Amino acid sequence: MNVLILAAIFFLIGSLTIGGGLVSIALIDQYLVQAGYISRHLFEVMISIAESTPGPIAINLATLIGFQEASWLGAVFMTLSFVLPSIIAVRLIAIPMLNNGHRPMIQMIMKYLSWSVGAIIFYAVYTLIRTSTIFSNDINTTMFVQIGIVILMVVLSYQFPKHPLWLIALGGFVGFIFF
Amino acid sequence: MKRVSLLQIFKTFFMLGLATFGGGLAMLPFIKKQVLDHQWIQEKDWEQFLAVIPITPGALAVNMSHLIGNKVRGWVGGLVAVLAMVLPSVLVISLFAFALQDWLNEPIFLSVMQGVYLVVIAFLIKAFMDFARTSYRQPIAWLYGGIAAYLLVMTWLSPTNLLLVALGIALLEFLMRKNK
Repeated sequence: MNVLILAAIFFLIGSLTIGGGLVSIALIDQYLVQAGYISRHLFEVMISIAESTPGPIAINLATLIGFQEASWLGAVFMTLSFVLPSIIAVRLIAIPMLNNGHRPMIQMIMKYLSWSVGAIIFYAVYTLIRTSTIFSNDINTTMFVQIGIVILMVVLSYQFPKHPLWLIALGGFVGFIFF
Repeated sequence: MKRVSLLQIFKTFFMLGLATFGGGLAMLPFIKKQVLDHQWIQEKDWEQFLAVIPITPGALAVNMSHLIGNKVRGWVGGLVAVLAMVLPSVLVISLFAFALQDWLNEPIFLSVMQGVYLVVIAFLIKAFMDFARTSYRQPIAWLYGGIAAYLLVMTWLSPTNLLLVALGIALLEFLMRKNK
């Protein structure tokens, strides 16, 4: 893919990422994975790396994909393309809203957007499980072990909300032992 | 209050970007502690920022940094904060990406990443549950969210189109109320 087209796609994804970086996972899935540009398997590895390295997950994904495309320059270029719309949006939307208070129109938009964002995060989880090359498609022991680990990790993430890194490390260790 | 230097803003957000893991949601409490300790903003500023960033496009941590930088040193401060927040990601990830092609054929790396992937799924489920608890308070919200999720899962609607539909409905409801 042409670097400029990819940058344009990241600009679009950055503009549409409302409600946080998790939404961008669903958007990257829509624009790059389902479009066949990145393989499902590579995307899964990239998500795992993005989560286990410092920084916002959306920025890490933009950098990773940019690097794949055009090395260091690509990484910088894609990250800037992703961040640019949010810089503009903060100046044009967030700061005026802080100064002028919430208008009824804004509140209306906020309501429907936040309801939509919940559905998008749900859809992201569904897609990442359903289409995964990692999750077992058959009903067998592996499947039960995987489901068990996910449930355990959800519980642990509520128990230790301030230590995501330890859970990531634990997950990596479990993967090393079992898979 | 003493004037904060741009270098200080850069250093603070660079360190935050470098030292916090687990994505934007997990980063926010760390950012909050730092900037409140520095007395760059007050608790009530933080609450106000928190209310506007969910409807502002972009990553949460990046937009939060922008607003804080802007509060402290105007638009230049905002830009410095954003760049400082993003830079560590670019540096660290580039190191990873450099080796990624070789590692993709490494069975040990792949099995570790499979384990990490399960944790990511768990974090996403937690994020969804947290989000549902705060956003879906009325039955109508559950109805809207349920229908939206169904349309997405059946792939009758892409995430992009859902956001556009949401904007359209908001506009319609706004106009209808105005005309009453």
